[in-house]
Amino acid sequence: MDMIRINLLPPELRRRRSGGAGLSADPATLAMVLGAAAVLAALGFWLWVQMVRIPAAEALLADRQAELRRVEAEAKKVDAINDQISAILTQVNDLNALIASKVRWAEPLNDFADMLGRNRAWEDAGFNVASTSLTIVPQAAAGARGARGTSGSDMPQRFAMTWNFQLVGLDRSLSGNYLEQFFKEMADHYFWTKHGFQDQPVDSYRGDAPVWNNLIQRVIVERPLVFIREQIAKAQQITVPPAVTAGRAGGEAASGRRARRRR
Amino acid sequence: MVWQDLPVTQRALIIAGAAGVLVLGCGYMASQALLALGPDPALPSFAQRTGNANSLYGQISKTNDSIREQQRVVDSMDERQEILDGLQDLEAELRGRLPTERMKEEMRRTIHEMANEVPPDLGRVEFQSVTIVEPAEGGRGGARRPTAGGPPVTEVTYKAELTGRMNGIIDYINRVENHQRFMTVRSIRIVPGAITLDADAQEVLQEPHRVSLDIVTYVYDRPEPVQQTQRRR
Repeated sequence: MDMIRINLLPPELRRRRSGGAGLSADPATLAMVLGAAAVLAALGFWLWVQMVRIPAAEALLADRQAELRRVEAEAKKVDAINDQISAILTQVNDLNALIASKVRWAEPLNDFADMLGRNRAWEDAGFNVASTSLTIVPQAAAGARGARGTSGSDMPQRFAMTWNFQLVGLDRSLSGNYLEQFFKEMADHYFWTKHGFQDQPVDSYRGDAPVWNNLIQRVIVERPLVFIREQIAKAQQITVPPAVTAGRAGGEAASGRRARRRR
Repeated sequence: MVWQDLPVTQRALIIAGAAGVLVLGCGYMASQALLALGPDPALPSFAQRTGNANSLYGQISKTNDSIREQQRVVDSMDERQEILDGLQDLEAELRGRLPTERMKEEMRRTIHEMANEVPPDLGRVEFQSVTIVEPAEGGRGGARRPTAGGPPVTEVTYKAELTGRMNGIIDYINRVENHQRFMTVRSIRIVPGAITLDADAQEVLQEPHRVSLDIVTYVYDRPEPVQQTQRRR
Protein backbone atom coordinates (compact mmCIF):
# COMPACT_ATOMS: atom_id res chain seq x y z
CA MET A 1 0.00 0.00 0.00
CA ASP A 2 1.30 3.31 -1.03
CA MET A 3 1.92 5.91 1.59
CA ILE A 4 1.58 9.61 0.91
CA ARG A 5 4.63 11.64 2.09
CA ILE A 6 3.87 15.09 3.29
CA ASN A 7 6.64 17.65 4.06
CA LEU A 8 5.43 19.78 6.88
CA LEU A 9 8.48 22.10 6.97
CA PRO A 10 8.03 25.70 5.83
CA PRO A 11 9.26 26.19 2.27
CA GLU A 12 12.47 28.06 3.24
CA LEU A 13 13.49 25.19 5.53
CA ARG A 14 12.79 22.47 3.09
CA ARG A 15 15.81 20.71 1.53
CA ARG A 16 16.35 21.89 -1.95
CA ARG A 17 15.44 19.60 -4.65
CA SER A 18 18.56 18.66 -6.54
CA GLY A 19 16.87 18.41 -9.89
CA GLY A 20 18.62 16.82 -12.81
CA ALA A 21 22.08 18.22 -12.03
CA GLY A 22 21.90 17.52 -8.46
CA LEU A 23 22.90 21.12 -7.61
CA SER A 24 20.69 23.94 -6.48
CA ALA A 25 21.77 27.39 -5.19
CA ASP A 26 20.11 30.06 -3.20
CA PRO A 27 19.65 33.00 -5.68
CA ALA A 28 20.55 35.52 -2.99
CA THR A 29 23.77 33.74 -2.15
CA LEU A 30 24.57 33.41 -5.82
CA ALA A 31 23.93 37.11 -6.33
CA MET A 32 26.11 37.93 -3.35
CA VAL A 33 28.98 35.79 -4.59
CA LEU A 34 28.82 37.08 -8.13
CA GLY A 35 28.31 40.66 -6.97
CA ALA A 36 31.26 40.43 -4.61
CA ALA A 37 33.41 39.00 -7.37
CA ALA A 38 32.45 41.81 -9.72
CA VAL A 39 33.06 44.44 -7.10
CA LEU A 40 36.40 42.90 -6.19
CA ALA A 41 37.43 42.74 -9.84
CA ALA A 42 36.50 46.38 -10.44
CA LEU A 43 38.11 47.51 -7.21
CA GLY A 44 41.21 45.48 -7.94
CA PHE A 45 41.56 46.94 -11.42
CA TRP A 46 41.15 50.46 -10.11
CA LEU A 47 43.67 49.82 -7.36
CA TRP A 48 46.15 48.30 -9.85
CA VAL A 49 45.88 51.35 -12.09
CA GLN A 50 46.03 53.74 -9.17
CA MET A 51 48.76 52.04 -7.16
CA VAL A 52 50.90 50.43 -9.87
CA ARG A 53 50.44 51.93 -13.30
CA ILE A 54 50.18 55.59 -12.34
CA PRO A 55 53.29 55.57 -10.10
CA ALA A 56 55.15 53.69 -12.83
CA ALA A 57 54.07 56.28 -15.39
CA GLU A 58 55.07 59.10 -13.04
CA ALA A 59 58.49 57.53 -12.59
CA LEU A 60 58.84 57.11 -16.33
CA LEU A 61 57.81 60.74 -16.89
CA ALA A 62 60.32 61.93 -14.31
CA ASP A 63 62.99 59.85 -16.03
CA ARG A 64 62.13 61.26 -19.46
CA GLN A 65 62.08 64.80 -18.08
CA ALA A 66 65.51 64.25 -16.56
CA GLU A 67 66.68 62.94 -19.93
CA LEU A 68 65.18 65.99 -21.64
CA ARG A 69 67.04 68.31 -19.29
CA ARG A 70 70.28 66.45 -20.01
CA VAL A 71 69.75 66.63 -23.76
CA GLU A 72 68.75 70.29 -23.55
CA ALA A 73 71.97 71.05 -21.72
CA GLU A 74 73.89 69.34 -24.54
CA ALA A 75 71.83 71.19 -27.13
CA LYS A 76 72.75 74.48 -25.47
CA LYS A 77 76.40 73.72 -26.19
CA VAL A 78 75.49 73.31 -29.84
CA ASP A 79 73.59 76.62 -29.69
CA ALA A 80 76.72 78.24 -28.27
CA ILE A 81 78.75 76.79 -31.15
CA ASN A 82 76.15 78.10 -33.61
CA ASP A 83 76.40 81.56 -32.05
CA GLN A 84 80.17 81.43 -32.50
CA ILE A 85 79.72 80.32 -36.10
CA SER A 86 77.44 83.28 -36.78
CA ALA A 87 79.85 85.73 -35.21
CA ILE A 88 82.94 84.36 -36.91
CA LEU A 89 81.15 84.02 -40.24
CA THR A 90 80.35 87.73 -40.20
CA GLN A 91 83.95 88.44 -39.29
CA VAL A 92 85.31 86.22 -42.06
CA ASN A 93 83.01 87.72 -44.68
CA ASP A 94 83.90 91.23 -43.58
CA LEU A 95 87.61 90.42 -43.76
CA ASN A 96 87.11 88.81 -47.14
CA ALA A 97 85.32 91.89 -48.40
CA LEU A 98 88.10 94.05 -47.05
CA ILE A 99 90.83 92.03 -48.71
CA ALA A 100 88.87 91.86 -51.96
CA SER A 101 88.71 95.65 -51.99
CA LYS A 102 92.32 95.85 -53.16
CA VAL A 103 92.61 97.55 -56.53
CA ARG A 104 95.88 96.84 -58.30
CA TRP A 105 97.73 99.46 -60.25
CA ALA A 106 101.05 97.87 -61.16
CA GLU A 107 99.70 96.05 -64.20
CA PRO A 108 97.64 98.95 -65.60
CA LEU A 109 100.65 101.23 -65.20
CA ASN A 110 102.88 98.70 -66.89
CA ASP A 111 100.45 98.45 -69.80
CA PHE A 112 100.24 102.23 -69.89
CA ALA A 113 104.02 102.44 -70.10
CA ASP A 114 103.92 99.82 -72.86
CA MET A 115 101.42 101.89 -74.79
CA LEU A 116 103.52 105.02 -74.54
CA GLY A 117 106.94 103.54 -74.99
CA ARG A 118 106.46 100.80 -77.52
CA ASN A 119 103.79 102.12 -79.80
CA ARG A 120 105.04 101.67 -83.35
CA ALA A 121 101.73 102.81 -84.81
CA TRP A 122 102.17 106.30 -83.45
CA GLU A 123 105.73 106.52 -84.62
CA ASP A 124 104.70 105.32 -88.07
CA ALA A 125 101.96 107.95 -88.15
CA GLY A 126 104.58 110.61 -87.45
CA PHE A 127 104.12 111.48 -83.79
CA ASN A 128 105.16 110.49 -80.29
CA VAL A 129 103.40 110.86 -77.00
CA ALA A 130 105.00 111.62 -73.66
CA SER A 131 103.67 112.06 -70.20
CA THR A 132 104.04 115.26 -68.23
CA SER A 133 102.23 114.10 -65.12
CA LEU A 134 100.04 111.30 -63.92
CA THR A 135 97.77 111.36 -60.90
CA ILE A 136 95.53 108.57 -59.68
CA VAL A 137 93.05 109.23 -56.90
CA PRO A 138 90.01 107.39 -55.64
CA GLN A 139 86.71 108.90 -56.62
CA ALA A 140 84.10 109.45 -54.00
CA ALA A 141 81.41 107.42 -55.63
CA ALA A 142 78.86 105.06 -54.18
CA GLY A 143 80.76 102.05 -52.97
CA ALA A 144 84.16 103.56 -53.61
CA ARG A 145 84.94 103.28 -49.94
CA GLY A 146 82.41 100.63 -49.28
CA ALA A 147 84.74 97.79 -48.67
CA ARG A 148 84.21 97.78 -44.97
CA GLY A 149 81.19 96.29 -43.37
CA THR A 150 79.57 95.39 -46.63
CA SER A 151 80.31 91.72 -46.67
CA GLY A 152 78.94 89.76 -49.50
CA SER A 153 78.18 92.60 -51.83
CA ASP A 154 79.97 93.51 -55.00
CA MET A 155 81.74 96.75 -54.29
CA PRO A 156 82.41 99.12 -57.18
CA GLN A 157 85.50 101.22 -56.68
CA ARG A 158 86.17 104.17 -58.93
CA PHE A 159 89.45 105.89 -59.52
CA ALA A 160 90.18 108.98 -61.56
CA MET A 161 93.41 108.81 -63.51
CA THR A 162 94.41 112.30 -64.61
CA TRP A 163 97.03 112.22 -67.29
CA ASN A 164 98.72 115.25 -68.78
CA PHE A 165 100.08 114.18 -72.11
CA GLN A 166 102.28 115.81 -74.66
CA LEU A 167 101.86 114.83 -78.29
CA VAL A 168 104.76 115.81 -80.52
CA GLY A 169 104.22 115.52 -84.27
CA LEU A 170 106.08 116.28 -87.45
CA ASP A 171 103.42 118.20 -89.35
CA ARG A 172 101.23 120.90 -87.84
CA SER A 173 98.52 120.43 -90.42
CA LEU A 174 98.18 116.82 -89.36
CA SER A 175 97.69 117.48 -85.65
CA GLY A 176 93.99 116.58 -85.91
CA ASN A 177 94.92 113.27 -87.56
CA TYR A 178 97.54 112.64 -84.92
CA LEU A 179 94.96 113.07 -82.16
CA GLU A 180 92.47 110.88 -83.96
CA GLN A 181 95.07 108.17 -84.36
CA PHE A 182 96.20 108.67 -80.77
CA PHE A 183 92.74 108.13 -79.30
CA LYS A 184 91.92 105.26 -81.65
CA GLU A 185 95.08 103.39 -80.76
CA MET A 186 94.51 103.99 -77.09
CA ALA A 187 90.89 102.79 -77.18
CA ASP A 188 92.01 99.55 -78.82
CA HIS A 189 95.02 99.06 -76.58
CA TYR A 190 94.95 96.43 -73.85
CA PHE A 191 95.85 99.14 -71.36
CA TRP A 192 92.37 100.52 -71.94
CA THR A 193 90.36 97.37 -72.56
CA LYS A 194 91.79 95.15 -69.81
CA HIS A 195 91.57 97.16 -66.64
CA GLY A 196 88.05 98.48 -66.32
CA PHE A 197 88.44 101.95 -67.78
CA GLN A 198 85.06 103.46 -68.52
CA ASP A 199 83.69 104.71 -71.83
CA GLN A 200 86.27 106.02 -74.34
CA PRO A 201 89.64 107.76 -73.85
CA VAL A 202 88.50 110.67 -75.98
CA ASP A 203 85.53 111.42 -73.74
CA SER A 204 87.41 113.78 -71.46
CA TYR A 205 89.22 115.54 -74.29
CA ARG A 206 88.10 119.17 -74.48
CA GLY A 207 89.54 120.39 -77.76
CA ASP A 208 93.07 120.69 -79.01
CA ALA A 209 95.38 123.69 -79.14
CA PRO A 210 98.36 122.65 -81.23
CA VAL A 211 101.43 124.81 -80.79
CA TRP A 212 104.23 124.91 -83.30
CA ASN A 213 107.67 124.85 -81.70
CA ASN A 214 110.16 126.48 -84.03
CA LEU A 215 113.15 125.29 -82.05
CA ILE A 216 112.46 121.60 -82.54
CA GLN A 217 110.34 122.07 -85.64
CA ARG A 218 107.50 120.03 -84.20
CA VAL A 219 103.85 120.58 -83.44
CA ILE A 220 102.99 120.01 -79.78
CA VAL A 221 99.57 119.27 -78.28
CA GLU A 222 99.36 119.31 -74.51
CA ARG A 223 96.11 118.46 -72.76
CA PRO A 224 94.95 116.75 -69.60
CA LEU A 225 92.79 113.67 -69.89
CA VAL A 226 90.79 112.13 -67.09
CA PHE A 227 90.13 108.42 -67.29
CA ILE A 228 87.73 106.70 -64.93
CA ARG A 229 88.61 103.22 -63.84
CA GLU A 230 85.98 101.14 -62.10
CA GLN A 231 86.61 97.84 -60.45
CA ILE A 232 84.02 95.56 -58.95
CA ALA A 233 85.60 93.83 -56.01
CA LYS A 234 83.99 90.43 -55.80
CA ALA A 235 84.34 89.21 -52.25
CA GLN A 236 84.29 85.51 -51.58
CA GLN A 237 81.07 84.91 -49.71
CA ILE A 238 81.46 82.15 -47.18
CA THR A 239 78.37 80.13 -46.41
CA VAL A 240 77.74 77.32 -43.98
CA PRO A 241 74.91 74.80 -43.78
CA PRO A 242 72.04 76.04 -41.63
CA ALA A 243 71.99 74.99 -38.02
CA VAL A 244 69.68 72.22 -36.88
CA THR A 245 67.28 73.65 -34.35
CA ALA A 246 64.71 71.94 -32.16
CA GLY A 247 61.38 71.91 -33.90
CA ARG A 248 62.82 72.07 -37.40
CA ALA A 249 62.45 69.18 -39.73
CA GLY A 250 65.61 67.16 -39.50
CA GLY A 251 68.09 66.52 -42.24
CA GLU A 252 68.28 70.08 -43.43
CA ALA A 253 71.87 70.30 -42.38
CA ALA A 254 72.58 66.64 -42.83
CA SER A 255 74.80 67.38 -45.78
CA GLY A 256 76.84 69.87 -43.79
CA ARG A 257 80.42 70.21 -44.67
CA ARG A 258 83.14 72.46 -43.49
CA ALA A 259 82.67 76.12 -44.20
CA ARG A 260 82.71 76.38 -47.95
CA ARG A 261 83.43 79.24 -50.25
CA ARG A 262 81.01 80.38 -52.90
CA ARG A 263 82.85 82.06 -55.67
CA MET B 1 10.12 43.65 7.65
CA VAL B 2 13.52 42.09 8.09
CA TRP B 3 15.98 40.66 5.58
CA GLN B 4 14.93 37.07 6.38
CA ASP B 5 11.34 37.89 5.76
CA LEU B 6 12.06 39.07 2.19
CA PRO B 7 11.47 36.63 -0.57
CA VAL B 8 14.59 35.11 -2.02
CA THR B 9 14.14 36.78 -5.35
CA GLN B 10 13.95 40.23 -3.78
CA ARG B 11 17.03 39.59 -1.70
CA ALA B 12 18.91 38.47 -4.77
CA LEU B 13 17.83 41.57 -6.64
CA ILE B 14 18.92 43.84 -3.80
CA ILE B 15 22.33 42.16 -3.58
CA ALA B 16 22.78 42.32 -7.33
CA GLY B 17 21.77 45.98 -7.35
CA ALA B 18 24.18 46.85 -4.56
CA ALA B 19 26.96 44.98 -6.30
CA GLY B 20 26.14 46.78 -9.52
CA VAL B 21 26.35 50.16 -7.81
CA LEU B 22 29.70 49.27 -6.28
CA VAL B 23 31.01 48.00 -9.63
CA LEU B 24 29.89 51.15 -11.34
CA GLY B 25 31.58 53.25 -8.66
CA CYS B 26 34.82 51.34 -9.02
CA GLY B 27 34.49 51.49 -12.79
CA TYR B 28 34.09 55.25 -12.68
CA MET B 29 37.15 55.66 -10.49
CA ALA B 30 39.10 53.29 -12.69
CA SER B 31 37.98 55.27 -15.72
CA GLN B 32 39.21 58.51 -14.14
CA ALA B 33 42.49 56.85 -13.25
CA LEU B 34 42.86 55.58 -16.83
CA LEU B 35 42.17 59.07 -18.14
CA ALA B 36 44.91 60.46 -15.93
CA LEU B 37 47.21 57.63 -16.98
CA GLY B 38 46.74 57.97 -20.72
CA PRO B 39 47.62 55.37 -23.34
CA ASP B 40 49.76 53.09 -21.19
CA PRO B 41 51.13 50.34 -23.45
CA ALA B 42 50.94 47.90 -20.50
CA LEU B 43 47.15 48.07 -20.62
CA PRO B 44 44.98 46.25 -23.10
CA SER B 45 44.10 48.53 -25.96
CA PHE B 46 40.44 48.85 -24.97
CA ALA B 47 41.53 50.29 -21.59
CA GLN B 48 43.90 52.87 -23.10
CA ARG B 49 42.43 56.36 -22.97
CA THR B 50 43.82 58.80 -25.52
CA GLY B 51 41.62 61.86 -25.10
CA ASN B 52 43.63 63.66 -22.45
CA ALA B 53 46.72 65.46 -23.73
CA ASN B 54 47.81 66.18 -20.18
CA SER B 55 47.70 62.55 -19.12
CA LEU B 56 50.90 61.02 -17.85
CA TYR B 57 51.54 59.10 -21.05
CA GLY B 58 50.51 62.19 -23.05
CA GLN B 59 53.22 64.13 -21.23
CA ILE B 60 55.66 61.25 -21.67
CA SER B 61 54.93 61.26 -25.39
CA LYS B 62 55.46 65.03 -25.65
CA THR B 63 58.64 64.78 -23.60
CA ASN B 64 59.91 62.02 -25.88
CA ASP B 65 59.17 64.23 -28.90
CA SER B 66 61.12 67.07 -27.29
CA ILE B 67 64.00 64.71 -26.49
CA ARG B 68 64.10 63.57 -30.13
CA GLU B 69 64.19 67.17 -31.36
CA GLN B 70 66.90 68.16 -28.93
CA GLN B 71 68.81 65.00 -29.74
CA ARG B 72 68.82 66.01 -33.41
CA VAL B 73 70.45 69.25 -32.36
CA VAL B 74 72.96 67.37 -30.21
CA ASP B 75 73.70 64.97 -33.05
CA SER B 76 74.76 67.92 -35.20
CA MET B 77 77.42 68.95 -32.68
CA ASP B 78 80.38 67.31 -34.44
CA GLU B 79 79.39 68.77 -37.76
CA ARG B 80 78.91 72.26 -36.29
CA GLN B 81 82.21 72.00 -34.43
CA GLU B 82 83.92 71.03 -37.67
CA ILE B 83 82.40 74.07 -39.37
CA LEU B 84 83.52 76.30 -36.51
CA ASP B 85 87.05 74.91 -36.68
CA GLY B 86 87.13 75.52 -40.41
CA LEU B 87 85.92 79.09 -39.97
CA GLN B 88 88.44 79.75 -37.23
CA ASP B 89 91.24 78.49 -39.48
CA LEU B 90 89.98 80.70 -42.28
CA GLU B 91 89.64 83.70 -40.00
CA ALA B 92 93.18 83.17 -38.68
CA GLU B 93 94.44 82.96 -42.26
CA LEU B 94 92.65 86.18 -43.23
CA ARG B 95 93.70 87.92 -40.02
CA GLY B 96 97.27 86.92 -40.75
CA ARG B 97 97.13 88.98 -43.91
CA LEU B 98 96.49 92.15 -41.94
CA PRO B 99 99.13 93.77 -39.77
CA THR B 100 98.47 94.32 -36.11
CA GLU B 101 98.92 97.55 -34.20
CA ARG B 102 102.42 96.47 -33.15
CA MET B 103 103.41 95.89 -36.76
CA LYS B 104 102.77 99.45 -37.93
CA GLU B 105 106.39 100.47 -37.59
CA GLU B 106 107.52 97.22 -39.15
CA MET B 107 105.22 97.94 -42.08
CA ARG B 108 106.75 101.38 -42.47
CA ARG B 109 110.19 99.78 -42.60
CA THR B 110 108.96 97.18 -45.09
CA ILE B 111 107.57 99.89 -47.35
CA HIS B 112 110.96 101.56 -47.24
CA GLU B 113 113.01 98.40 -47.75
CA MET B 114 110.96 97.21 -50.70
CA ALA B 115 112.48 100.05 -52.71
CA ASN B 116 115.88 98.40 -52.31
CA GLU B 117 114.52 95.12 -53.63
CA VAL B 118 113.75 96.56 -57.05
CA PRO B 119 116.25 94.98 -59.50
CA PRO B 120 118.80 97.57 -60.67
CA ASP B 121 118.16 96.74 -64.32
CA LEU B 122 114.67 98.19 -63.92
CA GLY B 123 116.12 101.46 -62.74
CA ARG B 124 117.09 102.40 -59.26
CA VAL B 125 114.29 103.49 -56.96
CA GLU B 126 115.35 105.96 -54.30
CA PHE B 127 113.22 106.14 -51.25
CA GLN B 128 112.72 109.68 -49.99
CA SER B 129 110.34 109.39 -47.06
CA VAL B 130 107.40 107.58 -45.60
CA THR B 131 105.04 108.90 -42.99
CA ILE B 132 102.26 107.16 -41.16
CA VAL B 133 98.94 108.92 -41.01
CA GLU B 134 97.63 107.96 -37.61
CA PRO B 135 93.97 107.27 -37.08
CA ALA B 136 92.01 110.23 -35.83
CA GLU B 137 88.61 110.44 -34.23
CA GLY B 138 85.89 111.00 -36.78
CA GLY B 139 87.84 109.34 -39.54
CA ARG B 140 89.75 112.41 -40.59
CA GLY B 141 93.40 112.60 -41.42
CA GLY B 142 93.68 109.68 -43.80
CA ALA B 143 92.87 106.91 -41.39
CA ARG B 144 89.64 105.40 -40.23
CA ARG B 145 88.76 103.64 -37.05
CA PRO B 146 86.66 100.48 -37.04
CA THR B 147 83.02 101.01 -37.83
CA ALA B 148 80.18 99.44 -35.92
CA GLY B 149 79.32 96.15 -37.50
CA GLY B 150 82.42 96.14 -39.65
CA PRO B 151 85.60 94.16 -39.10
CA PRO B 152 87.75 95.29 -36.17
CA VAL B 153 90.30 97.07 -38.29
CA THR B 154 91.71 100.55 -38.50
CA GLU B 155 92.71 101.98 -41.83
CA VAL B 156 96.23 103.34 -41.80
CA THR B 157 97.80 105.28 -44.63
CA TYR B 158 101.53 105.41 -45.35
CA LYS B 159 102.47 108.39 -47.45
CA ALA B 160 105.57 107.44 -49.40
CA GLU B 161 107.77 109.65 -51.55
CA LEU B 162 110.27 108.12 -53.95
CA THR B 163 112.07 108.73 -57.17
CA GLY B 164 112.96 106.35 -59.93
CA ARG B 165 112.53 105.20 -63.49
CA MET B 166 109.09 104.13 -64.64
CA ASN B 167 109.85 100.41 -64.72
CA GLY B 168 111.37 100.53 -61.27
CA ILE B 169 108.37 102.41 -59.92
CA ILE B 170 105.97 99.88 -61.45
CA ASP B 171 108.01 97.06 -59.95
CA TYR B 172 107.90 98.76 -56.58
CA ILE B 173 104.11 99.18 -56.74
CA ASN B 174 103.82 95.55 -57.76
CA ARG B 175 105.84 94.51 -54.71
CA VAL B 176 103.62 96.59 -52.44
CA GLU B 177 100.46 95.09 -53.91
CA ASN B 178 101.72 91.53 -53.69
CA HIS B 179 103.14 91.71 -50.19
CA GLN B 180 101.93 89.00 -47.82
CA ARG B 181 100.41 91.70 -45.62
CA PHE B 182 97.50 93.53 -47.13
CA MET B 183 98.54 96.79 -48.73
CA THR B 184 96.85 98.67 -51.50
CA VAL B 185 97.96 101.75 -53.38
CA ARG B 186 95.14 104.21 -52.89
CA SER B 187 96.58 107.12 -54.83
CA ILE B 188 99.55 107.77 -57.10
CA ARG B 189 101.10 110.95 -58.33
CA ILE B 190 103.94 110.72 -60.84
CA VAL B 191 105.79 113.78 -62.04
CA PRO B 192 108.21 112.92 -64.85
CA GLY B 193 111.76 113.97 -64.33
CA ALA B 194 113.07 116.90 -66.27
CA ILE B 195 114.82 116.23 -69.56
CA THR B 196 118.19 117.89 -69.92
CA LEU B 197 120.77 117.90 -72.59
CA ASP B 198 124.35 117.00 -71.86
CA ALA B 199 126.00 119.28 -74.36
CA ASP B 200 129.43 117.74 -74.00
CA ALA B 201 128.27 114.18 -74.46
CA GLN B 202 125.50 115.23 -76.84
CA GLU B 203 123.10 113.09 -74.84
CA VAL B 204 119.52 113.60 -73.74
CA LEU B 205 119.32 112.93 -70.02
CA GLN B 206 116.13 112.34 -68.09
CA GLU B 207 116.04 112.82 -64.37
CA PRO B 208 114.13 110.22 -62.30
CA HIS B 209 110.40 110.62 -61.92
CA ARG B 210 109.10 111.88 -58.60
CA VAL B 211 106.40 109.69 -57.16
CA SER B 212 104.00 110.16 -54.26
CA LEU B 213 102.04 107.13 -53.11
CA ASP B 214 99.30 106.67 -50.56
CA ILE B 215 99.67 103.08 -49.41
CA VAL B 216 96.75 101.89 -47.35
CA THR B 217 96.61 98.95 -45.01
CA TYR B 218 94.16 97.81 -42.37
CA VAL B 219 95.46 97.22 -38.89
CA TYR B 220 93.69 94.44 -37.11
CA ASP B 221 92.64 95.77 -33.70
CA ARG B 222 91.67 92.51 -32.03
CA PRO B 223 94.74 90.58 -30.85
CA GLU B 224 93.03 87.23 -30.44
CA PRO B 225 90.72 85.47 -32.82
CA VAL B 226 87.06 85.33 -31.95
CA GLN B 227 86.09 82.68 -29.39
CA GLN B 228 88.79 80.10 -29.70
CA THR B 229 87.95 78.73 -26.29
CA GLN B 230 85.66 75.92 -27.30
CA ARG B 231 87.86 74.70 -30.06
CA ARG B 232 88.15 70.91 -30.07
CA ARG B 233 90.76 68.84 -31.82
